[in-house]
Amino acid sequence: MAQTLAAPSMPPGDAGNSGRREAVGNARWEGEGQQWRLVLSGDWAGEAELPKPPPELRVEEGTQLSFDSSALSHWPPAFAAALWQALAPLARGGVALDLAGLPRALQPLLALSLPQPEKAAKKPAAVDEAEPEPEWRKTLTFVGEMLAAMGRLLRGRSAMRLSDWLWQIEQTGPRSLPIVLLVSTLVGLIVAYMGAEQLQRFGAQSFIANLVTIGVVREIAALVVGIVLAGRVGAAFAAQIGSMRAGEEIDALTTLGVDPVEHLVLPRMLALLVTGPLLTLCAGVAGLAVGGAVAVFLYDVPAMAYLTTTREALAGWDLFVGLLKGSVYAVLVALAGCRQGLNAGRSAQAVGEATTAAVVQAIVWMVVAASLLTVIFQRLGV
Amino acid sequence: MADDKNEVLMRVEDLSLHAGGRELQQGLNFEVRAGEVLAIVGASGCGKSTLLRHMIGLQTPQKGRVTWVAGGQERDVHGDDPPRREIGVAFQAGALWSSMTVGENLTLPLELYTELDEPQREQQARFKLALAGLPDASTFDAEPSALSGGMRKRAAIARALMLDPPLLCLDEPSAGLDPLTSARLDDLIKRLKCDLGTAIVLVTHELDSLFAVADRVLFLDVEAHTATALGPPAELRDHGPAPVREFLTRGAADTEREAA
Repeated sequence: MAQTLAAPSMPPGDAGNSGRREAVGNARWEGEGQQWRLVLSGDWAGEAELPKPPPELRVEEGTQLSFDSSALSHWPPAFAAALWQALAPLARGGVALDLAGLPRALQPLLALSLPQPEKAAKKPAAVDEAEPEPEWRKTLTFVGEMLAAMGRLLRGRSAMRLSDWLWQIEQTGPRSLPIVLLVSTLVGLIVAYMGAEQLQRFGAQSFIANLVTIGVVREIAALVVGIVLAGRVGAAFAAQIGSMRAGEEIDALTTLGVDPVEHLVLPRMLALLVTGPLLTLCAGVAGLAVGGAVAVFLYDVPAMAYLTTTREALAGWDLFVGLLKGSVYAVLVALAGCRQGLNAGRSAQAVGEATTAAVVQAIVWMVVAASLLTVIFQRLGV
Repeated sequence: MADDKNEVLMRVEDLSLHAGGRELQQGLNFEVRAGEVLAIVGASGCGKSTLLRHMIGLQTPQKGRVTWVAGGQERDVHGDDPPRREIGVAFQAGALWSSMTVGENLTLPLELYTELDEPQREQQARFKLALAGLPDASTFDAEPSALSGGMRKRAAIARALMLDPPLLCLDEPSAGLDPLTSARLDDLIKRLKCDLGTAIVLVTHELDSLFAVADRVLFLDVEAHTATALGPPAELRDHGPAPVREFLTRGAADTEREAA
């Protein structure tokens, strides 16, 4: 049994070790002036590198190269590729190759794969094409186009359809609500727990309400909404618009004179401008409710006291700041999603890339905007 | 305006086509005349579709110009007042707007460019669908994704016809269709030309369609980087330059072999 298993896989002399190595492949470039010859001999099993042609061999028209493979005993499939790699630059440069001296099986392979000198010589003229526009300029252009489209809408001359806008509100608002509520509830719970744990050390549980109110309403609700929208809605925008681009639907709009920004971007942007603050409000309420529950049931803060403190804490600018942030994040999500979709390439793969880019870009922009807004509001003292 | 067979609708002058930093074609000069079917042919990658995109104003040329000359005044296709109403376009895969029904797809051009009220628009759309070979009433309310490839192309042609343009541009109308469906589309193109007098510019690979419908053929040579022939297909096949003859006869020989 062992013999029959071992025998076929080890034909005598084909094992990589032992005395086989004596007759290794050998290649020699011979000749001078315009007449050259490549002499191949020996066994090339395992060897797949040819020596480079000598510098005296001038790669130009008129040079001729023939082959002598009479002493070539064995060659693996990889040998054809190695030979092609060595000969292709010569053929491209106009050297006349006489393949007749090669093994019969190699001749058609090389004849097919080597470039034809007269065809290869005629290359299409390279053109000085304008440098590709940098990303930031594309984004600025896009924002400008969008503002122009908004201006046209305000003057009542827009191709935006009311039904598109309402449909987008329905898609981005009510359908995002469950996940926004879930996430903001859990985050509110975490904030209340962490805060209460610290405050309890000083016997200051009654301040949980202030902490939760300011934290959730001013910052967390908006951020939760922004991130949920980036993943749920921004990605969808990029995918929808990107696949419309791949399917030439956007070209079809353009040929009719319809501005794709007006027709596709505006309804999405305006829908998020409506649903962003509303979702932020819902997220804030959910966070406050959970924070209250933690304070009342776990840290024995009287319910009425909690409500009163919350109302006092809400009196300031916090609610306004929170809603403003929610709107800004929503706009950034729409911008990133639509811009990536409109600038996507024309393939299915490009749509996927645009989707990823939209989410990443939206989140980065959001964090930058959050920092900027925080600094601005600190300076303003609100 | 389409009565006069020799009236020039569109003029392409010294146009160069670029893609990916290479010059695909240069020095293209030709005219599209009223009521003719002009087929743009050539090997893959020679710039046929790019040429069409330049002619409908989707791509701006770096060199040369495309002018709409019918109706007494010259209008640059890439200028401020492009001839949008005058050119109907059906894209390769149909490009029906996926967020609308077929009916909405067809009525949108009327909404944008005419004063017709809704019932009139719907009537027009149903008529154009029937004209394009989709007489079934249910097509009007269908989503584009529910249609087959051939139906989608017909609906796209119907949409391109909504504003009764004197020029219709079709990008590979028969690509990806079975021979029977593709032959029926050829019939449709011929009927549009004969019955409506619409001029048609057609990008195609299919030699069958070419000989069946085209009045003139513009051959873009992939190696010479310019148009090397323009004329009736049969004449080019018999007396054209060698690459054109080869292009036109090789396919014909294949067809004959298939038929035999």
